[in-house]
Amino acid sequence: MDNINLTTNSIKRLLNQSVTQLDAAVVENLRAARNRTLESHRALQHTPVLAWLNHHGVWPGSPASNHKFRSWALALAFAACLLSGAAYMQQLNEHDHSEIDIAILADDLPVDAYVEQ
Amino acid sequence: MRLTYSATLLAVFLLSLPALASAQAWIELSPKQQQALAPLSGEWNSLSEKQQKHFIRIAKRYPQLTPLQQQRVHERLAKWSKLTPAQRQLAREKYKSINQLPPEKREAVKQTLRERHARKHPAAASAVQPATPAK
Repeated sequence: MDNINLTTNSIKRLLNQSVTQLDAAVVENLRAARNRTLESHRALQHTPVLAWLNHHGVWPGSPASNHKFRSWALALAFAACLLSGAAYMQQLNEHDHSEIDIAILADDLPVDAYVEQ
Repeated sequence: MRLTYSATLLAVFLLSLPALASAQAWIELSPKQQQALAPLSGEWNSLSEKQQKHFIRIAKRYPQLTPLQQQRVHERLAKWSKLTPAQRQLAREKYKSINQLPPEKREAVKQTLRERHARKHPAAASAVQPATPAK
């Protein structure tokens, strides 16, 4: 591999030179994409909560935070599925008792007769 | 993209709702539920969420009972709510085993239990009237 020493300024110069060789349509697309990104960043800064979440890498804004957000969202969705599944199973188990309980309560034998050993 | 993330968060919230459901105050019950669970009105707000849900399911079945059975349920609800989970489980098992017996044998066992109960609680014995139980 060639040992090329690139400084920030040399990279900038190379990129600027390359831009002049691009098609006008490609330059226009790049400009539009840049404007969209800046616009979305400005909108984020206007919402303090989202800006705070973005700053801590929780709300999507950059590729890195997108990845973090996706991981958090997946973990949350998994936890929510577990919780709702457990609650649903608990409800199913309790449902069986209500039928027999009302039968005992309405029976001709008093409740004490069923409880006494 | 932002819409997808918001939709994900909303889905997480909706999925969590069953687990996050909280206890229900007495005044939030429907008039029919309040009528069925009237004996528990005084202690309703101190019952656990699990107990409340259980009694709400019992209230749902209450209108299907005969007037005599509804009266019995009202007389016994408060006592039933004060039993320990182990006592309630014992009663359920006993009820199930008795109801699996053939009709003649079932009546004989019930009569024995009725007499035993009458000896232990003479005052309550006169109030006990045999009738077909609810199914």
